[in-house]
Amino acid sequence: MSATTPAGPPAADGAVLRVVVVGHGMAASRLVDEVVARSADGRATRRVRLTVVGDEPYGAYNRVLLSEVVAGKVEVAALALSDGDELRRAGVDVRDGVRAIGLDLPAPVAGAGDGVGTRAGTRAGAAAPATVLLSDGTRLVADRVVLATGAAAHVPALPGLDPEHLPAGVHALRTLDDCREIVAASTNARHALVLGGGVLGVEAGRGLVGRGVPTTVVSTGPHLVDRQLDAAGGAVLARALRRLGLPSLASSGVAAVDVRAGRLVGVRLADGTDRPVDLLVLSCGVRPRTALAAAAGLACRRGVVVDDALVTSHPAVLAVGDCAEHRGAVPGLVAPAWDQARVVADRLTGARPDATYVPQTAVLRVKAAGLDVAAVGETLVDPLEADEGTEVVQLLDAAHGRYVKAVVRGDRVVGAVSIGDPRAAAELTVLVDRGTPAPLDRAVLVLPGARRGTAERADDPTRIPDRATICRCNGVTKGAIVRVWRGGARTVPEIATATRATTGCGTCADAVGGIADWLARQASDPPPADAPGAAGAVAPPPADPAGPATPAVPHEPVSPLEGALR
Amino acid sequence: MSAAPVHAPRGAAPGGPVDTHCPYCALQCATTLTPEPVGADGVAGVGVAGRAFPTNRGGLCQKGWTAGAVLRAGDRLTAPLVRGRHLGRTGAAADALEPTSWDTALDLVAGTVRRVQAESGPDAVAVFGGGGLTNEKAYALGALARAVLRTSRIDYNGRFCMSSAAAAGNRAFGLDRGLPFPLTDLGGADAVLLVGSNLAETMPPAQAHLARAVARGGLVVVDPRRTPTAALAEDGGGLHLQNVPGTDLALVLGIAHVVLAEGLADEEYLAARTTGADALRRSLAAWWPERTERVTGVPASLVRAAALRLAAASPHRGGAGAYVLTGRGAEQHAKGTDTVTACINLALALGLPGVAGSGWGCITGQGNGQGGREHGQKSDQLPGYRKIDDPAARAHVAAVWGVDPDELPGPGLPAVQLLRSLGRPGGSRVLLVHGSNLVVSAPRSGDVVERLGALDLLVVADLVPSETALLADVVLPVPQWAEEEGTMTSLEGRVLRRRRAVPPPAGVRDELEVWADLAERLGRPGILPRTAAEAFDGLRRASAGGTADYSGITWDRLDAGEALHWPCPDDPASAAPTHPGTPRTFLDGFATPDGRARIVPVDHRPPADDLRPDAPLHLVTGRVLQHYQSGAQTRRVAELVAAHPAPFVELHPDLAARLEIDEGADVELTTARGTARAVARFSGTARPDTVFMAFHWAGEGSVNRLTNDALDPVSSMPEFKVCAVSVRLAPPRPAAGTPVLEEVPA
Repeated sequence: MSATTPAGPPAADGAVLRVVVVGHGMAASRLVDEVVARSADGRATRRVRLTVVGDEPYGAYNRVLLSEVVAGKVEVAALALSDGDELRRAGVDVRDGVRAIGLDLPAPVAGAGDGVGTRAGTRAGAAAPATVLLSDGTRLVADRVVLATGAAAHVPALPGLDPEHLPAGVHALRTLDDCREIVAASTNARHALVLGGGVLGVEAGRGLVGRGVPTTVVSTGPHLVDRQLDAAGGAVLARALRRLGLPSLASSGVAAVDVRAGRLVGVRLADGTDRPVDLLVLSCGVRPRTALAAAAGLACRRGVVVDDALVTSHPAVLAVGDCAEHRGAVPGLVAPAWDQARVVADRLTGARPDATYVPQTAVLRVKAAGLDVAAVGETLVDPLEADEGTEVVQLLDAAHGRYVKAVVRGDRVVGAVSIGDPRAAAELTVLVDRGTPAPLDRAVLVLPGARRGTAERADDPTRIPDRATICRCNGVTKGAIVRVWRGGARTVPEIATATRATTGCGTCADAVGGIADWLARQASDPPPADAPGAAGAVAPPPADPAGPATPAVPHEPVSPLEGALR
Repeated sequence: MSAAPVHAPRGAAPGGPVDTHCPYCALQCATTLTPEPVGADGVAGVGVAGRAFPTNRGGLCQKGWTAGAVLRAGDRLTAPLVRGRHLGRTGAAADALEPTSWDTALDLVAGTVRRVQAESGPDAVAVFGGGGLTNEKAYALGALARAVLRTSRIDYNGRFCMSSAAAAGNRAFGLDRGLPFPLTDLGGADAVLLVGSNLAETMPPAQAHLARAVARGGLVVVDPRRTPTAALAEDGGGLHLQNVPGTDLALVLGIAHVVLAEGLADEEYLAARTTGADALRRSLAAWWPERTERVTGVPASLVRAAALRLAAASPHRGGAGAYVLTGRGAEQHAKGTDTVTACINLALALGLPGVAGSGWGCITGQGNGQGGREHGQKSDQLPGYRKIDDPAARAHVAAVWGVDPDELPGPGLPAVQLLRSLGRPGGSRVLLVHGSNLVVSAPRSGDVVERLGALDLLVVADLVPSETALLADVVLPVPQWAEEEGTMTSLEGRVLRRRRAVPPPAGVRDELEVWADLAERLGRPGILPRTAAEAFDGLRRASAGGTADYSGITWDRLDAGEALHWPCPDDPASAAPTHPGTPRTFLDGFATPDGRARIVPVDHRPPADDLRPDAPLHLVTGRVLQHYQSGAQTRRVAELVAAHPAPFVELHPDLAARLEIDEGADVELTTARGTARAVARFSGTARPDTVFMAFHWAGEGSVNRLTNDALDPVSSMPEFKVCAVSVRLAPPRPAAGTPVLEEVPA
């Protein structure tokens, strides 16, 4: 009845490690790519025969961008992360549209508990292989199994809702199919409601509004994105969303759904009010998919428990991504999943047999048109209650939808929030991520725009000091131009002859002409008593090294290059 | 003043004005030189003026205007110098460089070459060339190495400049011409993306061609510093993407992601003119703007904005044209080839290359950085951009040289590997250096100095006692730009005449004659050309049928004012060459077997020497307007020295405050490879996590003591542009009288 397919050639010599990857999402796809890359570029010290099993019929795709598809920004075709044919050419056995339904593990052998460890090729003696049973009856034999089963959308228990059979109009947002259904539903929807005020809920709501569907976000928490934002941040975000046409209700929730003839027609909110709603998007978090692991007897808490080598409680089984619980955390973000994939690839291929996973700071970024929100690392520290040695600086500018907060410990930024300031978001993220030291003046952290260097500009020559460079190509300062003008060089070509100003790229011709005009006007007015002499005299160098700022005088612009080349 | 009317080139009348081009960068600004009488120093000078020409439009930068001063540098070399020990001197005189005769110097070189080759084989002698040599000299130097010395060990300083762009261009298009279109084409574009190029300082007159893009807010500059070029973009309403050093690749992937994901790609073009678009799409799926932001520090909104502006300017969306251009900032990395490939892939996604008015290009740096990389100075290459491991190419070139193809060596070692091998088992024992001041310009230069010291004989041909010449056993005085004839190939692939305006000082001999004499001493007469005209004729024949085909170009055609861009094949049927040259390549297809551009998906990776607790800052390197390359020329021009007299390190004021460094203080910088010292200069244009140094200075202020020689796996380009550094206030100098051990003579 069931065929037994070895996940690789029989390895009498022990040279080939047979690895079955269960799941074909973002973590698995990255793992496969990393293994293939190590095998191709010579970093691998061991041959690995990969089989990857995914229950969705598509190859791996970029789940992070699903909300962008809902928003109509990104095309579905741009989500694909892998191509089955290409992987097969690279020697990977790709099985999409099949589910792993069972995992038979041999009793662990004492002393073999190194995952893939450093004992290359010792598996034959270490333990009998594992077997992965697939929904099509196939049994895959594996020396190592990597669980990358991901997480499933959490569907809350609501009166009127059967989580196993969601009625028309009610959708989670986790898979490509969910996304397609929401997009299809949005074309006829009159009132949408997003349940869940986390990042994905906000993104989905923003996307639906962008599609012209009146939408409300409802969250049970005290404010939006409450796991990463403090109350002020949540309030600023809610304000910004309202301005974008997306109202939100915090400290609320859905008490019941009203389904008629298999179709959603309304919801009752926690406060008892009824709302007509024909599209309900459930964005209530995810739950790691641990059923397979649990049934096989692997230790599971919220996720499948792994150590720093990403090995589960069984030495032949590893886990990565949203299904894995490492040091009590299930990050649920793609960056850690990809870091984990690299570690597992290093270990499986022997490229770095002792590689371990070190969690990096979590970076949360909202992708929504007209909205810029980032939350990095420790974000919930209270500015007035911070520990000794922890500094919090923040900028609250609710009127302009701006809230920036930085948490500093020692000289490192350990947490940051940025709403409505894209530059702050980018710079703070890099500071936290790379551990580069914070500036002495912490205020700079929350006002990065104020720090911008201003290069000398030649477009308003009359305002700038004499030492300022007017002609960069030839290093000619305003002071030099003033001197030769007073020496008799009155036109742009004459000034060019005397100083070479304008004779490079020619773009400073306007500025040089402006200075000449200004000097001419000045000369026609009676000079102040203490001003340097009339035409012909050479101005003494200004006492102030920066030179006096000269007054603004309007001038007629000269076209670029005209001065230099006429 | 500078606007001479367009006229047939001058130079025929002795002592009259001569039309030629600037000695410095690849823009090769047109100039007219007016010879001046021989001065008390015995050297003839020239007056320099800009000349109307499509690229520089009569303009020159400060370096160009003052170039005449280099002819009259006070320390011009006018006699061969030989280290006393080779002349039997003892004591202090053994270590001194002593003026001698040409015969003595060349006999020493030839004798040593014979001896070490007899002992250790042909590869015991190595040749290091330069991207500033004329085409004729680049060609003859390759012939000297392969046909006379029969060594495989030749490479050149272009490895440090152009190799990543060249590798990426060849990989994608089957041909490497820096700009595959005339520079003036940029003037019609709505948008230009400059990745790692500070054009406004490194090639000032060229920025005039960006005026339209600037005015339309279409100039997008990727640079960790707010350079004058970046300011030009922002001031015009364009974009400056100020990324974390070493992340250009990720940033370009992010921009390309937006193009493909948001439906802005030219799908028709991708289908008709490329292979690999599907793989590109998948590889870019992982680089959404928010992820790109985390890696690059560039706001996701700016990543999107850049993509939208480029797309709007692209022909398939009705724009007037768009360009993607790379410079050294993108290329001088251990992932430089992949970064350029990412730029090419972006351009292909937008449907730009091989379309008039749009395209991808690389902005070549050195004066003959283009021609210098085509005619045989590269370790794996024969003239005409032929491959040295291609039997047909070997047979063709060997026939031109009159040697047996089997005598030609195979591929040698790229520059850094070649330098690392010197004086080691299997490495070369004699090195001939031409047109390169490599102890200033090579990465990890402390090690380079050590390797040079391990040679049996170091021979350096130079104009002035450069820092490399001062380490040599034999120094050969050679002429400079206004004293020689030949051709240069500019950044746009146009072949230009360099003309002699004044004779070189007495005692100076042209490299071509020197090499021919050396060949005679080595018993291989008749192979090398003795004059530039003869060399160009050889180059034409050797390049005929090659990728960079110059056979249809003659000095006569150039002297008649024809604008000839290679490839320019000869027409055997006509009496004289008539091919008009190829201003725009790829219009009818790419130089690949199937005529399609090859898309190679690439991925980002961090710098080889990334930040760590004991080196918490990025060190980035670059140039200033007033100096050129190692500074051997420009540090001898008073006006340029006045503008930038000494090495400096640019620091953000926030960083300086944290490190308690005052402006003007001496700063000590340390990397895993060495220590340098320079004066602090504050600038808000740098990122606070980054310090900047220009590489034009020698000695303790030479930034290449610090730079990383990690190599690009494809191009062997070293990672000049980024490494991890620690910075502190320099300790006080030793008291007067204490010897300073590390001082290198300036």
